[in-house]
Amino acid sequence: MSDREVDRQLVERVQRGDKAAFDLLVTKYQRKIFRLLSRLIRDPGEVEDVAQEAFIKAYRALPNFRGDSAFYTWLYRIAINTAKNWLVSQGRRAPTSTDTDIEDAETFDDGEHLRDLNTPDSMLLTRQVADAVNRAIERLPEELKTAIVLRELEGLSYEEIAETMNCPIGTVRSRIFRAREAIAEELRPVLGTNKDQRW
Amino acid sequence: MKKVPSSSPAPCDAETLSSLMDGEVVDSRDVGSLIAAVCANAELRAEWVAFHLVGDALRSTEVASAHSSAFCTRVAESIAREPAIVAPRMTSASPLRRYLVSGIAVAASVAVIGFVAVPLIRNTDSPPTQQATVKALQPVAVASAERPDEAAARRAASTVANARALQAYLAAHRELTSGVALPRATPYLRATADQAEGR
Repeated sequence: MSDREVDRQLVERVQRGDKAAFDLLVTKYQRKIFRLLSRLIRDPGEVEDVAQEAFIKAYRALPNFRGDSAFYTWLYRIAINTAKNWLVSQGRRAPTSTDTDIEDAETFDDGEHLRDLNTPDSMLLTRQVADAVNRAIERLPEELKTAIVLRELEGLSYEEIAETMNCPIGTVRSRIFRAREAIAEELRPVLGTNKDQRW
Repeated sequence: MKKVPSSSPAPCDAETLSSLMDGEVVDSRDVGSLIAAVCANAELRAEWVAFHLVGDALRSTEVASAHSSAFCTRVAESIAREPAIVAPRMTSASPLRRYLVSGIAVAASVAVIGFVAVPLIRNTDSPPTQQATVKALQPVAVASAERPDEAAARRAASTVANARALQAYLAAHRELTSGVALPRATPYLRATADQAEGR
């Protein structure tokens, strides 16, 4: 089972009429789509509008999604086309090609373009997020810190992490979960994602 | 993968959700029911948001600060107004299976041609059919043996006779033909047709 398989299951649920499953895909990929669109559109408000349009287009097109490619690769194409059409409708020149190709769409390693768009408010928020993450990481026990870093930054599987840390896979599962909980707890006040909130 | 009815989601806790997000569920047959449980449980959905946010924040604080809970709510509201999708399920056929199915289809087509079309072609070549063909062609041969002026006179007489018969028919049914789709245009159509025929 892979992350792609989880997406496939979610897409299947949406295709059977479960809108909540689409909400999960939106929350999972919204930041990636924001980052992608911010390479084409400068204004953050406009980025949100185009991102919303892209997600709605994706929802309407989902009956035709056959799963030949990963869901995000498919969503990426819709977002790019939506942005290009939007630029044309605004009388702006749409790029003939984007800076990134489809393979780059699978990576998520920089915030250069978002950094270019920073306003004082967004810079403050970025700083607060960075501080919260650093604070949470510093407080984590060493084994939790290693497990979450190997998973989120190095992309290792649970089995590989278990071999690296010389512990059972069940222990890896538990450590990654506890690390996530701890970091999420630090981020909640900063980003307004309370536990009892819908999102 | 075993499909579990969405009405009976499997029990899912936050730790299981964490491993589900990583594609590391112990029993991959549970994925469908676990996702059903997440879709049905607001608390688990909030954990889903928080855990994805943690991953994004670890990779890039700039990207994490692009998180907008208002955005997700707006998209969810837009999706709620959309009609629910009822689409056929994705086919997860492997490329090998697709090639196999194509091969069988081609073989079946060849077999049909072999068993149905070939005997028909052979029967066409048999002597009785040849005789029938010769008989059918005989009037044409006789007609072509006539002198050109005689043939033209006979065709003209036939056309005039047909035209008179048509006129008589239309005159007899004029009351009935007044309700046709183009009642006002019908006289013009007939006049034009008469002019074209030199009448």
